[in-house]
Amino acid sequence: MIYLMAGADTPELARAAVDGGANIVELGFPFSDPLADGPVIRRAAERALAAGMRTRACLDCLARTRALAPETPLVPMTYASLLEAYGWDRFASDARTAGATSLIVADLPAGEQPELRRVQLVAPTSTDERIRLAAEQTDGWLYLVTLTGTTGARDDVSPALAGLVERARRFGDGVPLYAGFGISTPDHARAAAALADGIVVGSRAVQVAEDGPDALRNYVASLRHALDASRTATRFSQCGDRRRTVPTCRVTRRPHIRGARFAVPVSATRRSTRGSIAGARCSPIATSSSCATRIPATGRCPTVQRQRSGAWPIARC
Amino acid sequence: MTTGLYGTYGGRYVPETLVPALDELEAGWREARADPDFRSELDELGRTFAGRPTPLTRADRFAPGRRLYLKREDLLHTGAHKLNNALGQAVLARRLGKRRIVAETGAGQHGVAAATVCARFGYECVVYMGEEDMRRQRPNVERMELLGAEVRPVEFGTRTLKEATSEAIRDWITNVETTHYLIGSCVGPAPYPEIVRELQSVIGSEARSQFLDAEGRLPGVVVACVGGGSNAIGMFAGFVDDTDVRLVGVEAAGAASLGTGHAGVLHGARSSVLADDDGQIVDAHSISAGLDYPGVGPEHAFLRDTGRAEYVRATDGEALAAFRDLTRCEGIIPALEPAHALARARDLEEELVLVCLSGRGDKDLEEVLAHRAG
Repeated sequence: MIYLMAGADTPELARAAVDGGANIVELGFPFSDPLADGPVIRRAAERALAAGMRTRACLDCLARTRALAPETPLVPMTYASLLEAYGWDRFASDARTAGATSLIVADLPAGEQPELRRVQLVAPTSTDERIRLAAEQTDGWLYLVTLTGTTGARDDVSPALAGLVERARRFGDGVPLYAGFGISTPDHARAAAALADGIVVGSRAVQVAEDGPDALRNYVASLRHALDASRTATRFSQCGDRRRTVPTCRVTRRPHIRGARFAVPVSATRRSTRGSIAGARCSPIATSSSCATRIPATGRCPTVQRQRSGAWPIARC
Repeated sequence: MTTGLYGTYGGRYVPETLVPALDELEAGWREARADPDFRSELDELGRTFAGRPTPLTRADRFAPGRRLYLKREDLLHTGAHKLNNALGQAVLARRLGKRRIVAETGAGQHGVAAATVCARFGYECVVYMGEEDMRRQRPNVERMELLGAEVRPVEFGTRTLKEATSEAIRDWITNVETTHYLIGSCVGPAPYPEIVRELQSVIGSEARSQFLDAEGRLPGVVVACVGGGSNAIGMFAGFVDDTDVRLVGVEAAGAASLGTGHAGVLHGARSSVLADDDGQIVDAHSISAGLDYPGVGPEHAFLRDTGRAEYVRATDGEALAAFRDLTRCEGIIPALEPAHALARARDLEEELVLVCLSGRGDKDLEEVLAHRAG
């Protein structure tokens, strides 16, 4: 998942990110006082506001991005003040109309405004109880804040991530986990993706985007390559048959996002967890044909159906 | 689930990382309040370290023909009411096992109070201060540094209290496991507005009994300046149940979050804020760094809506005039913040007036002299 600040060039940048291999695009709606953001995104927000990117303009930007990236889930990320001013329900509804798949509000923790359906965040400081609450209330997947701190590139992937993933698996009711904050290089991507189901890259993507769509496409492709390479390697080792490679076996999962119109393709290397997706479990060692037989083409896997916020696999091998 | 509400104001609008720390703070606060040792330690510190109780002074020459009293928080150690809160939170931090303090400061009064308690309790202290405020309040920067605090300039945005508060919160997000955020006013996410109010309520409870001693009855009106609103909320706390006593908060005309603002979310709470139609926070402008803030404590927004308190405004010029008059008529140099309260207190029709003189004006001399020259 790639984060971009809303702006005049954002639709083209988002398209480039998708072409480079991004599965989801997070679209920042700038706020004057972004508490969760480090210097890079804070400055990007200042520039965006100076360029007139107010809520209405951001929604237009979202709609134009939707037109250029029709298959990609788009998730606006912003702060409560914008929703308070625009109207909570109206914001959610207009964002959806403009093409939003879900919503992230950085300063609205689980428990506040529970009626607003959104992706919840959990952090290393979150208690088990709060992880459970966030998973229960979240819209499709959980955003794992890998570190205690604000957004921005770091030298290494946070050592706190492993423990957080472990707890989120235990208390998260099988909800997919995407890790963000501090991830900026292919090595980071590989390390974080070895633990979580997906990664979010924000500050570094915002910086690279300043050099234009080509630079962004290449940067995202470098992350994509790192992720895919590590996943292929996983497959080889688990399958135990290096001659029968399955590089293209993918499962398309459809997170239970209200108003979702687009499936989220993810590599089929999802780990077994409580209430895991039966189809997905088969994937790491599956060949194309066995994958097709083990994941019902009609979609719903019985174990998954029972999950409140789980996903169901659709064969597309 | 939503906690710490004053009507529809307050709450916790913070990144998830902070929520467990706020839960821990709230639990620690409840426990402390129920513990008589906490109360007696604070009373002791107030008496032997801070200089409580502070006196009530009648200001006849400043307000001829009226009976106007000043609650002299300017005589508190460090020169402002901010120490009441800083001491209380320092004891709380010790109970929570936190030995690093971050704070924001505008006028520098809260920063000095935070640096002072950190020196006394042996804590590490980092104070965030806008570059513009560091220029306006140079003596306080030097005091903080003398006291061993690290003053970190905030060099972006408005370069004032708003940005300093955001940076202090970002520091807290990053160091939450070792650090207590010593917020300086009755703003921020729950339980901060309640903690600060309770720790400042000593102003109102002392003033109430002192006023009764002096006059044998309660004041007709109680006046205090409102930036974030901590001295006012502490003063009002003593009188809010006395429904015959009028409560008046005075904002800076260029930073009237209550007077011209509307509901919004800033620094962790829903309150009345200065924001545009899109919810973007707009710059406040005041000669007084302590009032130069586009937000206000959620309880003030609630008191305004319920009509229990009124909020009026004073301009820079009116505050400067009151500053000069109190200095010349009473021999008391007020800070520019309470000078706003003094400016409006003179217009009120009540005979019996109580004004919170929340701090002394030494820190403002350069600013005042510059305006005189200009």
